[in-house]
Amino acid sequence: MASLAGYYNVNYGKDMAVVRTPAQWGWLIFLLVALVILPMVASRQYLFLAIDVFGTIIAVHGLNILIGYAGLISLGHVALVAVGGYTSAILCTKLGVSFWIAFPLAGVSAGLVGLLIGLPALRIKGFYLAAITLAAHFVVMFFIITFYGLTGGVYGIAAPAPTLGDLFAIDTPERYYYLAFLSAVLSTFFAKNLARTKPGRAFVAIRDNDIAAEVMGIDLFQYKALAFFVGSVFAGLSGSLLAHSVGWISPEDFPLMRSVWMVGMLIVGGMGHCLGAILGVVFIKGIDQIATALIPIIGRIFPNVMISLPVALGQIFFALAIMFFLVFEPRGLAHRWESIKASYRIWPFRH
Amino acid sequence: MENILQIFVSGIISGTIYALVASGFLLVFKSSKIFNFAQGDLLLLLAYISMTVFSMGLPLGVGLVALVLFAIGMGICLERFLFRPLMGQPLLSLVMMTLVLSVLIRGICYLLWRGDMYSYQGLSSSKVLSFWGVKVSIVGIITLVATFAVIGVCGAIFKYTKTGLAMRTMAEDSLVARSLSIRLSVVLGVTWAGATLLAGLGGLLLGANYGIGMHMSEFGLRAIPAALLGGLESLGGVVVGGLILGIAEQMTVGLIDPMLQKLGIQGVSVGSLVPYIVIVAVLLVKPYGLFGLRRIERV
Repeated sequence: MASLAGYYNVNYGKDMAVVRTPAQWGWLIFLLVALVILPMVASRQYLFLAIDVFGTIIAVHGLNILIGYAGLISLGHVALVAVGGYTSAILCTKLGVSFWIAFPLAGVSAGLVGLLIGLPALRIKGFYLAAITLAAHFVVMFFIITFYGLTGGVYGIAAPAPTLGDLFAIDTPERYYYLAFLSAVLSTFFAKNLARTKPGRAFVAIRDNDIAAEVMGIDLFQYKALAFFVGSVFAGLSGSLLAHSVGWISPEDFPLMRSVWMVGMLIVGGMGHCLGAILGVVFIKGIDQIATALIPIIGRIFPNVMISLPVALGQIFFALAIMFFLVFEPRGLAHRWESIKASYRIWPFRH
Repeated sequence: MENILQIFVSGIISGTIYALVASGFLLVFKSSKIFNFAQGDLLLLLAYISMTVFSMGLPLGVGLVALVLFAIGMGICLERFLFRPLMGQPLLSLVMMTLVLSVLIRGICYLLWRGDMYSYQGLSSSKVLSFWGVKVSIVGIITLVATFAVIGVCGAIFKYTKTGLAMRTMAEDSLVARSLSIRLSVVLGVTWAGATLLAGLGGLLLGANYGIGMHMSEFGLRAIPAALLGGLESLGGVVVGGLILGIAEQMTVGLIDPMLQKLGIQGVSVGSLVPYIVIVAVLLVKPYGLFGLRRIERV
């Protein structure tokens, strides 16, 4: 991508920088500051939404590493979110472990389960991998319901609010918001940089052509396993974060369709872009909000389905949005953003 | 002993429905390499629609013709507007399109029918026959006969008609098929129309056996191993896969779940898990199924 006017990279550090220009630094800092002061102005309802968005962004970053970078289709991502959530809830509630220890352990346990699910990826790919991860979702959820002594079965288990020391409990949405915000920023930082390291480039090579990647000396097994592990760690951390924000975790929170929603967010945002994961989550959650806002209006047209309307409208809006993107913009918002930037840069010329 | 026979018979009946659904997977997969995760939801939608049509009080024949026309039209529209624009896109887009289609259909079913349970009127009092102590409902027998008849007809179309030949060519290599001047759009349209027709029949039979409700959409996912067992290659393989799956599932529900109950493990049904275990097992041990061609593809 040629920059036509003015800004040149004069040393290697500048060439590799993620944030390249003073203007970009300005926008980034503006965004971060805006997000930091958000809890002081926003209502509780929107804080919960924001916490949900941050938690989901972490999980979708993981999915992006799996699908977007490594090209391994996974439909069982939500099961790993559940593993993470349950791990930290059980550790905190049953064993009295502090949240700060349970949180990383949730990531590790989800990572290990994800590794187990990902092992078949060595032998099969494409649709078959989608089928086996889909089956894995049901197997994991079955185990969660079966070991009800540990997990509370269908009823669920409490996930107490984390505390700092003995005095300061992170139990209000305002306080939790900062925890979620910090986690999301750190995970974005990590995900963005992973893509630029050797494993990240190996993932892309495997996605684009696995035989060529193997010929170039990339150990397929090792890197596919690594992709599953890292992606699942993200899922586990997200699960822990979301479980403790609600305070309760039950199998109902993890239907298969949530995995589909996550993949949908990735498609809307743009696969293989760190920015895509964020844009996708925000876009789909926004659509969900619009659907919720439309309930009273559409409720007048279909008066006898008022109870099931929230479920129905959310699903229909989501599905139509993803269909639109699949047909008209399969590379997602991140790509669209890039092309807008490019056309802005070379305006008034077309190419 | 009678108990086991009874379980066996109900396994065969649910297995034939699995086979019917799985042949819908097969039809689409063979000609376009799309695995339609939404087959179960097509089943659901068509079952709800058929229930509504029948409850309007039309003559049975008129209702059936209307349903068949609707199913064919829907199949062609799905192919034309959702899947043809995705031609040449990566696999994930295709997988996602079917999954999103399933979300959309579920949303529509919640919107129009609230996701409630229904049953076909007049079927609840259907007769139950008894052979040597094994009870079989008439609906079950109709299911068995209809499924085998339809799968037989499908097989014959595949084997003996020109369209079938075109479909098989397409399955073998779509590039070669197109260069032999086979009309892609026609073949794919026929395929999708066939798949929705199979889904419609599956919806009718499933609804007649177990009632109409949102559980049918998961039935589509549960039928995946039937197709995988058969190797996504031949209709015969699908029938065998479906029967194995149905019998394995009913055996687990009838024999292992009561044992778990006795051991004091409550509220757990391994039977519901059987299809997914079969998926994992098949893909780990024999990814190409029992009758599938072993394509040379290095991963």
